[in-house]
Amino acid sequence: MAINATVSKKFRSGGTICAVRGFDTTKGVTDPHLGSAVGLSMNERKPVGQQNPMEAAATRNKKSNSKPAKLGRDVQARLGQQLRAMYDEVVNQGVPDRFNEIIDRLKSDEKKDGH
Amino acid sequence: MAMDDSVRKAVLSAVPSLRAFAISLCGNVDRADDLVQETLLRALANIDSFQPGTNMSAWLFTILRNHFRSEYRKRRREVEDTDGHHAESLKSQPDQYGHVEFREFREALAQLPSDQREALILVGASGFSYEEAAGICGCAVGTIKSRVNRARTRLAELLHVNSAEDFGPDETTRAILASGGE
Repeated sequence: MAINATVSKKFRSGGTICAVRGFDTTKGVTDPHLGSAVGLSMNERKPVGQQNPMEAAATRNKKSNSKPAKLGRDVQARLGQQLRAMYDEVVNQGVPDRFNEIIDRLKSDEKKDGH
Repeated sequence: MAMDDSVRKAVLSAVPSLRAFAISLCGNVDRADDLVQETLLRALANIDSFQPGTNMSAWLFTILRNHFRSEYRKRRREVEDTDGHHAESLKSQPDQYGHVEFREFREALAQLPSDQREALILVGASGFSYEEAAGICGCAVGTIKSRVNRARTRLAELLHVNSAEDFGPDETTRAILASGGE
């Protein structure tokens, strides 16, 4: 997903971070199958002692007053896929006739009126 | 000015995405199509102010968004209980996007504050850059980034998604097949 990769990259480089509300920090954060992407985002509310060195470093590198709440890359990717799938359902309907007609009508009007 | 054929094509090719964006704004296909129609009429009436070489799609999205915002504000002033009516009209449109599997996702999306939903759609679905989305919404790039960030976080909360596995193994595959195929 090239688009998503770009978005994720920009997204992460922004450094704009907001507070996590209501995440269940007991769930999912230590799952070894999820890799560091999820761990990075979700375990920032874990006590420092539970973080692995890379994650601790990532946390330190953030602005000190920001409240880290980044979602894991794969969660972001899945959300993005669902969003696009939903959106594309409409996009794939193409151009309804009424819009083709509007544009064609205007074109001929313009010719007639000389606008 | 007679409408250049390339301009006409550019307008037409933006329509499908414009519709999807309009539906996400008003939550109602009929209203969304009216919004797109009004947008096209405005755009074509002011086609001279479009600068060739710039992004036609972003230009149209800007017109649509501004029109929606001003109409919505007007409605709020004119009709006291607009909120109630609007909420009802949203409820009475159960399957805007047709597929049941998006229902939960759609409902979560509908619960986001409108500025966050809009930013997320523009960047995450319409494919605009943060800069373009900021231009469309008339705000700073940092504001868009922050809105998108908050929108994603809130969506994950609403969908109880803490990890990719929470989506279930087949749901995304189905969604992608549904969007890519018939």
